[in-house]
Amino acid sequence: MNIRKSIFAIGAAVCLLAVAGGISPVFAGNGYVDPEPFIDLGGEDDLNLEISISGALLKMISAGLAGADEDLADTVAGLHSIHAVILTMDTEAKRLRGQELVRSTEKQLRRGAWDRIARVNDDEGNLSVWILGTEETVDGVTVLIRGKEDGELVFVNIDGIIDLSKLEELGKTLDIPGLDHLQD
Amino acid sequence: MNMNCDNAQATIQDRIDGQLVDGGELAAMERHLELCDACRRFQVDMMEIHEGLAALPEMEFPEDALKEVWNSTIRKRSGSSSRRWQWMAAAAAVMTVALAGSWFGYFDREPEYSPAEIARATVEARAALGLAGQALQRSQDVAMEDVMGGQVTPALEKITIGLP
Repeated sequence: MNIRKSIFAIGAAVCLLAVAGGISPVFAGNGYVDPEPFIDLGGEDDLNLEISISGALLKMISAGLAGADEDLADTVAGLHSIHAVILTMDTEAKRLRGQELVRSTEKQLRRGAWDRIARVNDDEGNLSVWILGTEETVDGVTVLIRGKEDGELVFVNIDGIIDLSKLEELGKTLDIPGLDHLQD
Repeated sequence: MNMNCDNAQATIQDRIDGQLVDGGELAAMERHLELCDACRRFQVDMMEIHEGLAALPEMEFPEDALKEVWNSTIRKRSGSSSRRWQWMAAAAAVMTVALAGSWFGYFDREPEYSPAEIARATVEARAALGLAGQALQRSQDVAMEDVMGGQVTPALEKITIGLP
């Protein structure tokens, strides 16, 4: 190999390494949990809802809400990304796969130092809320819901510093059918 | 000076082409022609060809054809190896510029979204956050029920993080 080829090979290797490093998620913070396994599980037929918002779009949302809805604007302003996936597992086999995915995700969260702050388990389904953070700040929230009867599977991941009290207030102002089956 | 057929025919061609021919050489050729039938026929043939070519009209050589000949012969031969390296070097340069641009934030400029896209994303963000908020609220309700039932759980202590 002559000198010119050697130089080119070294340069190409450096470029490839740099590109590989640059591909890492730009907007991902510590509280990011990959929604892809849930999206893949749903496929085209069983995926009811997929929300994926990050980066510049979150800033624009926050700017647009300024003055109109300060709570939501402030909440969104501190976030890196929001992901939500709602699936309907309409066969027993799919429900089992959904259950397995929820379990594996919970294991992943546990290994990642997330805390499960709440768990609701009754005849209609189960729900778990996970947070990542310290006593001062919450850097991420992940919600996993699995309806036993209708086979609904919900994954929500909020990556970024978030005020749980404001998050709860947002929940009060919305009528989301996703949790109806778990309401008293 | 005696001249053989090869030299005589070369001299014939030079004279027809208009090149200067030495007088002694020309005299030797003439003497050879007096003795050689083959070279006389050669001289006649060459003169007919020359007159025939001179009678043809002049035509311009197409420029594209000239470039084609150039590309398929001289450039191809001389550039086969170095040209590949030039392309590879150019590709490496483009990649380097792209990386440099990325590192310096050139490509991190915020993408543009239409008002409709922002409005839709706002609704989606509200829905996703609301969904998480409802789950949180629901879990807190359950925790409160446990408190009321005398079953204080560790979850209640953690769920107060962030609450005023």
